[in-house]
Amino acid sequence: MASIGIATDSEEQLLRRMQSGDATASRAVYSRYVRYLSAIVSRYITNDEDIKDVLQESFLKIFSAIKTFAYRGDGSLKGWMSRIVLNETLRHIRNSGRLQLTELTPDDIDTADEEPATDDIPSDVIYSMIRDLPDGYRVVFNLYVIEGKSHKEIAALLNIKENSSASQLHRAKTMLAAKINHYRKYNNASL
Amino acid sequence: MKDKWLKDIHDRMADYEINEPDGLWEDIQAGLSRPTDTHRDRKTAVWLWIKRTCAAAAAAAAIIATVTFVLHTDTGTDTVNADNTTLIAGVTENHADDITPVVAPPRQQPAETVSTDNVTPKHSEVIEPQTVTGTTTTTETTEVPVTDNQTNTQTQSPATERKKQKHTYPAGGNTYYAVTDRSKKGGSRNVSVGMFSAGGMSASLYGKSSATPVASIGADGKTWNDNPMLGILLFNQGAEIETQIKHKLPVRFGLTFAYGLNSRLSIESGLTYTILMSDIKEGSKNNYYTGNQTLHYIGIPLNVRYKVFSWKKLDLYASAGVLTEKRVAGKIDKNYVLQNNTEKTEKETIASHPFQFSANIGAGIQYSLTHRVGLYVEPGMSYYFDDNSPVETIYKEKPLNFNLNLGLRLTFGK
Repeated sequence: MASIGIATDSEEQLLRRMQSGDATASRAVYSRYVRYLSAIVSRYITNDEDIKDVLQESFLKIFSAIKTFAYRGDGSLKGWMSRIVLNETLRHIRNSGRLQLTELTPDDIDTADEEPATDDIPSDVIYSMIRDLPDGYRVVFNLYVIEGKSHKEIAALLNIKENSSASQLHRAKTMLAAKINHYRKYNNASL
Repeated sequence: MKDKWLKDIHDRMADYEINEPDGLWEDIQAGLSRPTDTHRDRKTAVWLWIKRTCAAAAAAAAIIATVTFVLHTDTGTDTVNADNTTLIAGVTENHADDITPVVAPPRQQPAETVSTDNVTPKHSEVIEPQTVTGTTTTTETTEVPVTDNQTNTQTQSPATERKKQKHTYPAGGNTYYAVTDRSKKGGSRNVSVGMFSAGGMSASLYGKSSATPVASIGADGKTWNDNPMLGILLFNQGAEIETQIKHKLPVRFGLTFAYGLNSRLSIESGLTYTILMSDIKEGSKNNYYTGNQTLHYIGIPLNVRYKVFSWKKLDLYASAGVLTEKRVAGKIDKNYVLQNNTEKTEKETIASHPFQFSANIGAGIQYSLTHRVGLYVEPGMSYYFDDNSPVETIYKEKPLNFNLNLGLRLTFGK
């Protein structure tokens, strides 16, 4: 089967070529997914050097394990690579000393009311607001809301207690909601 | 809060993309071109871990050395002149009534003779040629009425022979070493020696049996080998005697298991091993003995720890708790010097193994090797409750004490 060009190859075709040692296929897979994978890491880690280190480690692991990967349908390669990247990210967080669970309390009141409206807030802004959260809030928020983990899973991944995870999430949500409302107020986001 | 906004955030962030970091691909290529990368990575990781651990251990050792050097205090230098009531082979004053073999005599000497000038004990006890330790006791002593101030000794033949030589260390303000030698032969010879002081050292010797003990005490000191202590005493008669004890700073190594109650507070226990070392010198300028005493304790602590401050891999914390220790071994190396010649060197084991309780506080620094494992250095202060053993340690002189704790801490829970 002749492939027209790498750009149009399906995930599966690229994978096969990678597994047979085709270097350009590796480069192609890299190019196709690096921006996505970088976004994952950078939601958790804010230091650029560290982000690069984690990504480098992740890709090295991906490339060395690619031969043992079994394709299971559309998106399975992307999913597999994301898991590797997430593992590396969390490993980095765990090993870089302590995960500082934030104990800030000030405006920590349960504002309870309506949830903030996010529809008209640009994704870039949401992204940077998440990155602005303090370490502990940020990691838990990402794992729970975006990666879809349960508190039990988060507790195991971060070696913390389940109710610590829950309280970090609660505070993260409060803080993020406040940021969103603040943004809307000062940017006159249309309603 | 309802979760629609969270779903929105999820949907948008799940596929979010950013720019690739500069130079990432080149770094990856560099990583790939190194031979057997993963294997190497793992080895590198292990090597890195080893290096970090060694660095931490070296740093800890350097700290220990420095602190020990700086804090090496003469915590108990007792200089006692013969004019004071110093007793050699002695006992404390109130001991007089207590004769029976005791197992952990409360600050008392089992079965040694004493009497001093200051006290007028009703009885004195006989020192057997064999000394008895704090815990083992097969003493046979009898009470003997004291005749006058400068009391004397009487000989008494022990019904049994004790095979081992042990030495006792009476407690009290001054430290004594009770030393007598037992002749190795049968029980027919008995030497009893009593030492008292009343402004001077005096020793009276009685030999019950015909022989040798007396004869073995020669004026030339050459045969002091059997009983160098006697020699020291005799030669020191009338001279000024000094007793000097230097206790070195106790160092305690620990393996600690900590359970985190919350992110700052944890409760912990574990195992500790403590070494106490002391240097002793007693006698006069030319006739003296020196001893080097080492005691080993194993203990179980129970502490509460509060993390004050954290920076990268270092934690600063404060801790308070109690410690139960048991002495598991002790020895003393002694050197007898007569007329400036070393007559004899002895090693003895200290047989008493009392429990030691203490309460302590400290502040420490911990370096995290991994998420759960850390190395710590913790100078602290402890108050030691009297262990009722006759052995003199730093804890008796100064119940409130500094010490240096270091070790490994494993953390569970939070």
